[in-house]
Amino acid sequence: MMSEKKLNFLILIFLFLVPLFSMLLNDIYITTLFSKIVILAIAGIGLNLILGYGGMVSFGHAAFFGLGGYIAGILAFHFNNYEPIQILVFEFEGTNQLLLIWIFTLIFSSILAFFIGYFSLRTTGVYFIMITLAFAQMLYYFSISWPTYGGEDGLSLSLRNQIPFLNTMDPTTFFYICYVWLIITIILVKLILNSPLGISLKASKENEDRVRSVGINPKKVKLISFIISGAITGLAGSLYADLNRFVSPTILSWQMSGEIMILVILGGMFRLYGPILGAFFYILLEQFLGGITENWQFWLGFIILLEVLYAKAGIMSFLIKDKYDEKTSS
Amino acid sequence: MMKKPVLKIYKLSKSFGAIKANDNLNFNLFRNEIHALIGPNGSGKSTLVKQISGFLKQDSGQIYLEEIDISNYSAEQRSRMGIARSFQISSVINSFKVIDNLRLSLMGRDGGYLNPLNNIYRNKDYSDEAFDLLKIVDLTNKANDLVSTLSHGDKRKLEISLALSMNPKLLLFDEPMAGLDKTSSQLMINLFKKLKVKAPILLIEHDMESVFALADRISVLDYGSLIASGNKKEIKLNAKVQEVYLGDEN
Repeated sequence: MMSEKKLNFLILIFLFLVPLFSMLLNDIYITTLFSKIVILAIAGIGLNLILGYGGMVSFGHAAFFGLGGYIAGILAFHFNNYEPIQILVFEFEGTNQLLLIWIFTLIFSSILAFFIGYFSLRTTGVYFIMITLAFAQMLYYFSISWPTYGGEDGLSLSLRNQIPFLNTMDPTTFFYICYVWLIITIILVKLILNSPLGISLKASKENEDRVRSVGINPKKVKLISFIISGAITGLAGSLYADLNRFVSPTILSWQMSGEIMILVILGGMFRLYGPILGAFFYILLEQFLGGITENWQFWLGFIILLEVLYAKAGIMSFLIKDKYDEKTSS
Repeated sequence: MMKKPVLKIYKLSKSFGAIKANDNLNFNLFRNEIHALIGPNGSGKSTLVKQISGFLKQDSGQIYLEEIDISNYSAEQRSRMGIARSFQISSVINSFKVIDNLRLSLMGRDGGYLNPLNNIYRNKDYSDEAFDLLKIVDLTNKANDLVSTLSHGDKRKLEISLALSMNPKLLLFDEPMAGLDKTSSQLMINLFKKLKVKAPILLIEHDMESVFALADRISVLDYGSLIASGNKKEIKLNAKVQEVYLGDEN
């Protein structure tokens, strides 16, 4: 048992040293695997902002993850083909520059999150779950039926998109790009949680009447948080497409939404670093149990069942001594 | 010159199906007064508070705050305009510390609640103001306690301080003495006497001892209609009020 701060610090140090372990073990696959963990952790932190702290059970975050992935894929596809992207009467050039792709991803994910959030937040509970799922499934089926970008087969990227002066094809470099984004995401969400928006979000989760009676509009608070959450998840999707150099409708499917949600629940919904641990254990289970049995998800389900019954605050709660109650306030 | 009311209710009606919760109510609340609203359970008192605070939309009629028609304003807008309320059942953020409940309301009052970057816990002005408010209700020693660990009486006090944090033009207190012991009730009575100078109070209360100790005027509701309104003496002597509500109490 240790303090949460200490555990968080150790998690970041451990991740930072992953390429070194990979080098010592002479297995570069470890670095690539951890890039995936870091990317899923970013998506999880994005979802956790609204799920853990805002009580909004979005079962459609694959929509943002997939959109981010397709933005990276489509822009690179047009860059490589020298064909402009045509939207109505407008034409845009493609690009393989990651900085531009990230900006596009953040903008379009935010717009999509505004659209989905605006309608979804008119509902609560099970209806909110269903409407977010429905939006994501609409995009999923749309991507399948869009042959220009590979339809069901998906879209391959011949090379990873680029950043000036960096070799993004090098697994270590790409890992550190993802790591920097993880740090930025943690700092951003930490800032939000201590900000007026964050405290309003946490309060809205618990008692909307009280929040309204002190002049706060909980719907606006939730919508802004939903947009930020969608943008973060979209960015993770963009990194994921570059990591795999491939994007397909699978990352828009409900299974992807479930995967992000599971890793958040697994790690600890009410902790900022919970999704990092969640992503780590999820991938670990996938790798090790997947090597033993095809039905590894059965055992994953069993573990989640135990967790929901006996440790609602996730894996984090086994490792730290702070109480959950104390966390919600600051 | 006629006194201008802080709150004016004009022909307010609200029905739930066939039941008339408020029927054509007319009602004024003036500066420096505590106006008690009494009546049997189900007479429409809480429905009226919900309509004034914007938590429930009226079917017809108007509500004016300092001559501004706020009938179609949201609850959030009314709160920021200075309509502060407490709830019949304590409604606070239980998972927050006492002081963070106040930080939340101060921030809501000032309107910057969508800011995603400023650290609310480092805002010294809010911390200082929160402590000043806690001093009024004698809760400073519990500022850093989790609200979930507070007693019922302390939660009631916290609700009062939350209402005060909104720079109120009008205070709506829905059964603030419910469940309090004698000492806490007396503390509330003394507090309300001081508060009415800051903002007039509309008090809903079943404890007649407190009502008669506090109220400058009393209105009596029955089946959603106002059956009497006047000072303590007039209400005590009103035969209809005796019949439907006070009974043997006086």
